[in-house]
Amino acid sequence: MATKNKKKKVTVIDNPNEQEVLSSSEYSYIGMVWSRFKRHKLATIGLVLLVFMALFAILAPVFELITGYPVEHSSLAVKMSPFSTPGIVAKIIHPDFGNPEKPMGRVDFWFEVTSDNNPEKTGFASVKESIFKNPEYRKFYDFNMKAYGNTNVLLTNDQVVEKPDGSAEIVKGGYSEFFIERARNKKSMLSGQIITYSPTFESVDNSITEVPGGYNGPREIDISEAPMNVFGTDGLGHDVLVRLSYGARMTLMIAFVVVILETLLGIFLGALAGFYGGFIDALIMRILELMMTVPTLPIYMVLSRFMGGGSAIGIIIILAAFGWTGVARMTRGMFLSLRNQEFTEAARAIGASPMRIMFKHLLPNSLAPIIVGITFSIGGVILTESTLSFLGLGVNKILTPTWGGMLDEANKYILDQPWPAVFSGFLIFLTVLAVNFIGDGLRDALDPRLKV
Amino acid sequence: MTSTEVILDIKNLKTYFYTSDGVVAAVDDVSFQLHKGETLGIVGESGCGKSQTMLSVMRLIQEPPGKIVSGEIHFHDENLLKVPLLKMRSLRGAAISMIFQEPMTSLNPVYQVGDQIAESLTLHQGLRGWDWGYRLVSWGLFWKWVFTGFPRETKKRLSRLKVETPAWQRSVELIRLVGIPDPEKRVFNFPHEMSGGMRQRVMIAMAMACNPEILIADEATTALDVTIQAQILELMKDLKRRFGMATVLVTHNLAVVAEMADNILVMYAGKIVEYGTAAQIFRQPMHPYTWGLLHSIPRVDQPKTDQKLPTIEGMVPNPYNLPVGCKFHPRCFKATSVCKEQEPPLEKMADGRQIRCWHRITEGGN
Amino acid sequence: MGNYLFRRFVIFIFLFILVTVLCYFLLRLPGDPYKELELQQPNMKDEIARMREWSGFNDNWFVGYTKWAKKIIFDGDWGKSLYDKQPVWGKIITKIPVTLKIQVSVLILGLLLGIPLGIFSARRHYSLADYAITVFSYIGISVPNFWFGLLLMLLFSVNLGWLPAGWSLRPDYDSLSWIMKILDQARNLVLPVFMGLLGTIASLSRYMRSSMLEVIRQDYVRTARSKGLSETKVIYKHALRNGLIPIVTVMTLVIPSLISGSVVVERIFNINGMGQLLFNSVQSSDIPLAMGTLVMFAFLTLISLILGDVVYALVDPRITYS
Ligand SMILES: Nc1ncnc2c1ncn2[C@@H]1O[C@H](COP(=O)(O)OP(=O)(O)OP(=O)(O)O)[C@@H](O)[C@H]1O
Ligand code: SF4
Ligand SMILES: [Mg+2]
Repeated sequence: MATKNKKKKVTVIDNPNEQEVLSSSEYSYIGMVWSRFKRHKLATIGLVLLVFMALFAILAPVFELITGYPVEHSSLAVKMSPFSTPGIVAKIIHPDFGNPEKPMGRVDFWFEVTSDNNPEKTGFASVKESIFKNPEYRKFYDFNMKAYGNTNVLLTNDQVVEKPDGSAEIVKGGYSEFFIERARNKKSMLSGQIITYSPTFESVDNSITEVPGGYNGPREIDISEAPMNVFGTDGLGHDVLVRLSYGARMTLMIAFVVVILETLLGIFLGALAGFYGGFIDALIMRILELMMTVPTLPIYMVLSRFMGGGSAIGIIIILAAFGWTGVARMTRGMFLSLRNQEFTEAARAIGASPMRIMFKHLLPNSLAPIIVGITFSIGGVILTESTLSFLGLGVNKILTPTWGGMLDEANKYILDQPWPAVFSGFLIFLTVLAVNFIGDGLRDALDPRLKV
Repeated sequence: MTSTEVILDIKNLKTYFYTSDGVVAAVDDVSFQLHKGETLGIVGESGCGKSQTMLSVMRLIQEPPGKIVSGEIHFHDENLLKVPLLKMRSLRGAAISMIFQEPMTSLNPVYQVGDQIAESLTLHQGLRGWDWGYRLVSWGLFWKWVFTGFPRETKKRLSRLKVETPAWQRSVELIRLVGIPDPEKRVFNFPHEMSGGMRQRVMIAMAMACNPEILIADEATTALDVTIQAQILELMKDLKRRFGMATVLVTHNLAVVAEMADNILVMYAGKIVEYGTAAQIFRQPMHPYTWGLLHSIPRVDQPKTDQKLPTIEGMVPNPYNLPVGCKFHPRCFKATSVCKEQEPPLEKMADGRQIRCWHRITEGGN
Repeated sequence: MGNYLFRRFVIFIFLFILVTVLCYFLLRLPGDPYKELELQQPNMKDEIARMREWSGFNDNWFVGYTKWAKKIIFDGDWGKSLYDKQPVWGKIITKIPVTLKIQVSVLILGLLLGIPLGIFSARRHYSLADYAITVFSYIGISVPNFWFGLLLMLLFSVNLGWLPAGWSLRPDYDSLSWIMKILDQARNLVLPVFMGLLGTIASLSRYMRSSMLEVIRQDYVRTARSKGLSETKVIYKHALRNGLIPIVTVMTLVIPSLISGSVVVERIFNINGMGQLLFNSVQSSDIPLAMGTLVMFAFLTLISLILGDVVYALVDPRITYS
């Protein structure tokens, strides 16, 4: 470890710009950069923010647990304001509601549903338990009986239809978003509380006062104590907080992977161009020029369609494939200016291989500006990825939340409920800001000439 | 040669740099006087504060991080540190001008050197330059070129128009004066089209343009070859004779100092360590540092020996962390315990010499 | 210089051709859209074959490209949209004005505001104003512009109701006097332009600031001061001219970013311009239309690159044209 440090110091001294720094201080180079960085107010703010974001992303499962809303959970309590609870009183009447001998036996649960806001309106919802055991279904509309079964149930389209002979039949329906749309159209948000509009509720709407089949008294289970949606819910009834934290995972993951990939690619190509010059340089520079000339957004659009399915890997590949130009230019510039300096000549004179010279001698000396450039490019990648997601070209936004995708989704009902859009955009903004602040701090810390 | 009229009187000048790594006392309590027609040589190691002292006189300290903390700089009877900026500007380049150390970067790369010389002539001597007219005409010619396409022709016409103005005429003269061949063509050069020596000479021409009372030459001749150097020095001497110009020569080159300077100021770590006439200092350096400086140059007039040249041991002190006591003690061959604890004061001797040392070297011995 | 420009021009033409080839190739990547249709409707084989023939999907991409290019070069025919069968050129021509209006305003206002802001900030280095401008510009470059646009729309058109949320000229627009027409257009332009402006001002002022800071520290600025020039002259004659040189390069990068900007702006404010056209045509694999818009955009980018070269050569005498 000690020898490694020593080595680093030596290579740094090779760079004439850093010489002053070293002689004027007793710390190690890294230690000094850190102490300078700490003194940079904005950078400190940025670092704190970024750590906060990282925690927010890492702790996503914890948020799920605390709030009680799994990420896939989706309820009819759509577009709720922050700090509201789904205000539905739902009571399980009886699992074996109705006459056991009637075909109604298909139904496993019956719910009597009342809205807080309109207690007179009561309806029934029914659902087969088996539905909840179907993992495909659960993936989207997870059923958590204890906590918030009510809202899930309402998503089903099962209807109680009264038959002429006095019996009731359950007509099974699909589970489409159609109902959510309908609920939306009712302008169902009043003072931040949701009134449920279940199809069941509507079709029955007070018309069934007495359920046939011998209603032998409700065995009520009050499940109205649904947990609070701290940041409200989005248009699909997802808890916004939980989705945001999963979105943080995805967005940050994509950004960092892309930046790592493009850095590797950029450094490699830039190093080749800068070190060898001549034909290789010309070739790489022409490719680079081409990449900078083509309008990238349309290309992203085409490629993301081609990659298909909105997979994260596709987005990562696309962004990395077009993102390496900045790093490559920088590396090339540094290598061009360094390759004729004495220490390179010295390394060459003792017979070091080109690869060794490039990556052992030149790279460490050109690292400072590259690091700064990379930091700034993280922000750029996050913005680009979000833009793509916002345009509907990113990762599949229903299955995998990303901030940009959530913003796109929230944009559809932004007039009813602006909060999900505001939150997700704000998080993008904060993260990019944090990264840029850090970049600023790093630049000042790594390049003491600019500090003056 | 030197009159008794003091034109520059610096008292207790302190210029500090406040960086994130600490405070650097680049100029620490420096006082000296400059007389009319005098040539003062300032010598000292790199980083000892020579340039910053002179920049303080011009009030060109980069601020932040630098700041002139205290002191007085009297030019004739005005305190330069107190005069309004407007007044200071009218003095800069006219009464006091400075030749900077870095010839390669001290000229503006996007303007022709003629332009840059003519600029101060226009400003201080009211010579008509070619500013707005130049721009209008060049735009006209540019469009004419775009439509008709005679670039060489237009270039020539443009140059002729330019060089006819009084300020440019004088620029050509000045460039000739500093010994650049073919001045009529060279005025139109951009700095990157000239060699380092030529650029330095352009800088000198610029500084001498308005016949200043004080010329500060910060390593002005370092980049030049010996013949040109001799020419420039001759030129300075000539100006000194003709106009009574006082010169401050900041240099590492003791030979130049020996030839030019009337008085010599030796600086170490932001402070004056020795001051005296050239004769005094060269004949008998009293401060160990000066002694070391003088003995570390090879001499032609003495027989070659196998002995190594004496050098000053050790390194230039870290400006962020200066030693206590005498700043020179880690490298001084005469250092004793008192040197390590107490800083010697700058003592004035009867013959006008000033020395900052507890154990000055007396005649004959060391 | 003429010679130099000519060579750059040739390189750019070459690049331009390469870009169009690349775009065409990429557009064809998703494959033949009629295959699926064929599977779904096996009895419509002839019909589908005819459609495929007409839309050029029966050729491979290279043949398709050459046909497309030939038609443009020799007949000036940009083809027809695959969907509504309208001529591509006519569509583009009608969509260009509004996009240009927005993006040119963004560019001009961005330059007019961003550069002075940068200079100001650099001159007051370390002051509170500089600090504020720095923070502002960091905020500006970090804000996702689509989000900013949405916020603007929420505030100014939904909540306050001052400005239209989309492109909606007054119903009696045609009967207005010219000055009212301009005002009405301006009213519609405010939000979209403002949305693009934030990032542009922020990044330009940041570049300008760092470029000026770099220049102000240079020795030749000190030389200029030592001549006794006034601060205004020092900054605006000696420093600015040098400080603008890197900005020229930045400008050539800003213009391509305005293209993606136009896609986003037009989607958010639902403006029927080139950006929407590009987005929709690419999304629906309307190859002739997509190619047309792409070529337009690539052309603009290349023009800006050439202009950048010329301006660069004009402001920096150190550039040699050999
Ligand atoms: N911008 C600055 N920031 C911090 N310290 C500075 C700055 N400029 C100068 N200094 C410090 O001021 C001291 C004096 O510098 P100065 O330029 O006067 O040296 P010098 O004697 O002219 O040396 P040289 O012979 O190399 O020109 C140095 O120690 C240097 O570290
Ligand atoms: S005071 Fe002491 S250390 Fe300093 S110069 Fe004199 S003898 Fe040397
Ligand atoms: Mg100096």
